[in-house]
Amino acid sequence: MKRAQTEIIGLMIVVIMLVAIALVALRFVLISNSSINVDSLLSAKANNMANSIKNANLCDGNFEQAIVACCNKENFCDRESCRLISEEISSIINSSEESVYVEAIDAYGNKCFSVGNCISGIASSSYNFENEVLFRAKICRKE
Amino acid sequence: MKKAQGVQFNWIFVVVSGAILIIFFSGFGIKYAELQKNRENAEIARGIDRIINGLRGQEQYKTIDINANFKFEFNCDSFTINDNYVQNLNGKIIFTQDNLKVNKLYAWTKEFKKAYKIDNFVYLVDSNKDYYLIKDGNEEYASKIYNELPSIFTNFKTLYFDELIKSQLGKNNEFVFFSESSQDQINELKEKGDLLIIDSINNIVTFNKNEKAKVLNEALVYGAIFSGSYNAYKCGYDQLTEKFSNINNIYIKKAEYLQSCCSTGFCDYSLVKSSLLNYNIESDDNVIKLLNAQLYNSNCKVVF
Amino acid sequence: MKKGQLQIQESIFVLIIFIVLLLIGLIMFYNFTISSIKADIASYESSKFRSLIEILPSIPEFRCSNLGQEQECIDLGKVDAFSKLGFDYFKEFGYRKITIEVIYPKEDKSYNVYEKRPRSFKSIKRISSLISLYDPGQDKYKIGKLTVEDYS
Repeated sequence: MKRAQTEIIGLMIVVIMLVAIALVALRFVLISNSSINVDSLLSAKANNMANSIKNANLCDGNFEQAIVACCNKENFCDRESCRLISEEISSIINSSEESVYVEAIDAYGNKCFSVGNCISGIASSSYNFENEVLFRAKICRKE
Repeated sequence: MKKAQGVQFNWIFVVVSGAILIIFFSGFGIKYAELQKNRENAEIARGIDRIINGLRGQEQYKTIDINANFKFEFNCDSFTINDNYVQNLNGKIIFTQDNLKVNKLYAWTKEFKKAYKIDNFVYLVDSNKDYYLIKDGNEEYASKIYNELPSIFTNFKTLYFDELIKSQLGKNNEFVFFSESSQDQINELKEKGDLLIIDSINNIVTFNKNEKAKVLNEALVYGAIFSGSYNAYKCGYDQLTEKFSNINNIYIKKAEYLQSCCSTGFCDYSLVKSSLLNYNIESDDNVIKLLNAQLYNSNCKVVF
Repeated sequence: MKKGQLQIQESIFVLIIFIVLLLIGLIMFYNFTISSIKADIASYESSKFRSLIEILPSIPEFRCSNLGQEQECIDLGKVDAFSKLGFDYFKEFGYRKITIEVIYPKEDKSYNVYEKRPRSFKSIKRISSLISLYDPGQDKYKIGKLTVEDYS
């Protein structure tokens, strides 16, 4: 009888320890839901970024006009437009704290220019310039 | 004798320890059930707050559907769910009833604008309440108010008083008149629900206890309808007045800045600034809008 | 008889230990539930804080407006006015610090839009985003960095 009682106590201890460990593990599983919130933040940042770049003044025009000129292989501000945009956008990105990828694609699906590099990230809405150029920014996820 | 006493003590021990154990486990059960209720209340509050935050950005509408009945108490700066969980509204302008017991709310946002935008109102509407917009005396306006409601607001009807009297009324009603109603009509409906009289000419709403307030445009007319009471409406109106004052002061300061940096022979901001100084929430907008537009037409930077 | 009594006592001890272990398990579970509720509340407040990056550029106090039509940018004239007027926006913003820095073109200009610090705080959370700015004095669109710090 003694032996049986001892074994039962042992079994109870094991069961309670397993339940406690399972509860702790569950808590950590539940915490991983925050990745959804991070993606929505990155989406807001990407949209803010794309909007701010397209609106900003550049020389006597703005970035939107410069990007269209780049896709049309024209000069802007007496300079090669694609090079000008890449340099300016690079300096903007350096001032932000994010890893960013920015690109513009012409009506034929060709990439006019791109700045930065992303393995994975959240893209902004695409802006359509003069019905021929698609422009968007992507905030890279921190790996 | 000793043996019998021993048996008695044994039974007493069993009963007492059994009672202690039962009390503990039942107490735990009750406390845990309370905790789960608190959690549920917090989730409902957060769900409503999340939807209010999401709606605030632009004019849109949504149904807030919770599976169980809950008590919603509006405290002006916050709301309470089931007399338990308080959620802050962080300065958002909400128009809703003081107390609701619902499982479904309709949420709708509408812009309030004077010469410039002030804010988006959020209306929280009781899905269980029947709203009757009475056409007598002002059919056009009543129909306009009705037609601009979102399609999900299926608990609204617009009809004549005679039709209303003949229809089957539920327990939870609100009757909205858009012209002066007779005492007979008021007496007929007084016990059947909340009563509002909206005078669209003088921009005044009269609530149940003859309390009056200003309704400056449709956004506030809806605010009055969905508040149903003077106190609930006054909360939103006071917050609006404060916000208007803040934004107006911002534009006054901006006009001062533009006057100092950018005024030329054509670009004179002093008129706009002095108009803004005399501008209040009940003022007419046309003059000030015209002054601002004149700046634009003169190729000057506008104030708003 | 003694042997019987001994066995009964052993059974009683077994039961007592079993109940004690069960009680410990229940208390642990109860505490876990409370801390998970607190974590949910903290997580929600945290997501509200992050959403400020999206909300702040669109509030009427800062947003660009042209003849009553809203535009997707922050008006520096209004921001400057807001920070100088010193309104009490604690209800809306709480214990936070909001700053806007002009980063393009490089101007070394920043605006302390709002700040309210509690007497003591354990940590500062910080988020930032690039935003479109309009300078009414120069009639130019610029790029700025909006930074929100949360004292908790």
